[in-house]
Amino acid sequence: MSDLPSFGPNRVGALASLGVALLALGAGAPYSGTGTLVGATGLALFAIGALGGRRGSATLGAVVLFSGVVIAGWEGAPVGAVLVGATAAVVAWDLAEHAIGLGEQLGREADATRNVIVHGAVSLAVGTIAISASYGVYSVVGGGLPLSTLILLLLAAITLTAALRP
Amino acid sequence: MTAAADTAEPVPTSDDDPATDASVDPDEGVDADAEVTVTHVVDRETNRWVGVGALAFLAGGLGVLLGGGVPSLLLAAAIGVAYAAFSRTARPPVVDLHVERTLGEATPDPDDSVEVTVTVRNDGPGLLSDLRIVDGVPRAVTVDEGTPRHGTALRPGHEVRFNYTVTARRGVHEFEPMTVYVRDPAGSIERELAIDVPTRLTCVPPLSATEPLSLRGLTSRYAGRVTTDTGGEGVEFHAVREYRHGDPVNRIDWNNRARTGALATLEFREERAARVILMIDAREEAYWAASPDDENALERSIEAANALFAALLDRGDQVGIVAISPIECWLPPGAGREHRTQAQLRLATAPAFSPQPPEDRFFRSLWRRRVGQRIPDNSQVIVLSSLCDEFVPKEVRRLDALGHTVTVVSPDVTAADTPGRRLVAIERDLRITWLRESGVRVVNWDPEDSLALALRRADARWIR
Repeated sequence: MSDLPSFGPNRVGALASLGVALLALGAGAPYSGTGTLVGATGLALFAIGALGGRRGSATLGAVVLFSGVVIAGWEGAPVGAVLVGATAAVVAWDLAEHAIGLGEQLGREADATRNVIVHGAVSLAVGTIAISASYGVYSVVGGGLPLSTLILLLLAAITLTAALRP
Repeated sequence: MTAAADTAEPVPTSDDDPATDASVDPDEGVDADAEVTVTHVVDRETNRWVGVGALAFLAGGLGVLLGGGVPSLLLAAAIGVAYAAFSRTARPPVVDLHVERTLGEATPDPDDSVEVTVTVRNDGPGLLSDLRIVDGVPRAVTVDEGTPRHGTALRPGHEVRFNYTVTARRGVHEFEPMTVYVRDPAGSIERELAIDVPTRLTCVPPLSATEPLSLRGLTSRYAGRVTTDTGGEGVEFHAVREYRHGDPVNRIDWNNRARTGALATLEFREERAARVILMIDAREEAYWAASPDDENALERSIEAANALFAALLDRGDQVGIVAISPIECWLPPGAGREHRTQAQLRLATAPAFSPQPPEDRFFRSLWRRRVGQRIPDNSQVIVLSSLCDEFVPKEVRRLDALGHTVTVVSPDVTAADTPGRRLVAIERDLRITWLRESGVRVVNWDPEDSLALALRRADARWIR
């Protein structure tokens, strides 16, 4: 007879994730029509997932949103916009997944605002560092060095990541 | 919710708090103090960042394929790599929590609201960026305000406090272990802890008398209120018999003497006290209810027992209690204030009448042997059972055959929404008919009616 939580993602987290997803769409929108179209589809899917507590839908939506940013980058969006858009798509997904997880463990009504804020802040901080680092590398390297330098740098980063496993 | 929101802000606390700690460290294992114990710790990977690497490769691959024209794709890939790297930095969080649970009132009256306050302090060295607390509310208790769950982040030395309100129900309710989930900042590794904070909520309903059930003639030799078929002193007229030497003068039928000249003595029905055993069905079947929101048969039986006990005791009868349960509960018939208190406690807190169904199997022969010898020969038995299975009706017939006068008070917990449930209801009706045909009185207590009404209705039928 114990009470059952009303299921659904944490409201604050879901709403915050939607805001960030809008930013992801907006970052690439002025530069590419196709990218915006794909991104809008992704956003719709993402919203259904984030508000309805469906992980699959949220993840698929975020991937399509990310693809929209990639398409915008392909069609000539500036580096800064692509970086912000890609980061926002990842952060939005992170927040949505977090909100769904909170909903599963704590229910929709439980107060978890502080938890969401801290999680969002950490995620944003990581994104900011990633943007600054890659933009920094780009502005140093992009001057005239060949593309292979960038690719090798990226591969080095991936190898380093793999080595991070405890 | 309002209260929880007000107090959810972490507040720094002094370090000299002498309360117990529940400490867990990956190296130390489980370290528990006297009261609060961590009963289990599980680490699991959430694997939530698994796809982000693939996303990075998607963007990176496209960037490479398309050649030097679009460096931005390679940079988007770098973002994905950064998050993958971030998720890989995850270590199991070091959790050292101090947990307290306080009740606004540990011994409330039934239906009182009890405020439960949970305080969790981070005694560990680092920030707990993702802390989720699910309090273990006893199963038979309902939360009516706020939620027993809370999510927050806690800096070292700070504490979080949240509260919720539960409605007290009859019985002894032990809080279950609190479940705490702690995740690392990336959310890749989750540590789940069950922290047992022993807290007990005891709710003893007062005994409040209802209309007394009219009992039949089987009585003890003590004076009381049950009219018997024996002639003697009393109120109600019984018979006139020939005068015998030594009959009291005030019982001589003077009218008869004036009319006929012969002496005759009036006899009245003697009033004696009955010895009553309240036999409460507390087997697993007694925990059935019409719907999850309704009271189960046991709760209603206890409610009836409460009222009947007080009513019979007030009338001067001797009342005892026995449970039909794998767990023993026997209160021999008695009277008096102390007996009353005893019964009140038994009905509320005896393990046999726990809000949780018994875990042991019920063996009817064992129970019969245990209880059979205890019930005094000249006692009446009031059986409180939902009559939802065959055992109790058969037992009633057996008691009846043994010479006890048996009355059954049966709370109706059947429902009529599915064919199966209707069948159960019909079977129960048949059992009641079967019992009535064999001369057992049955009070069928509809959930809509009050107990007093059900008893009055039954009484009216019996007297006619």
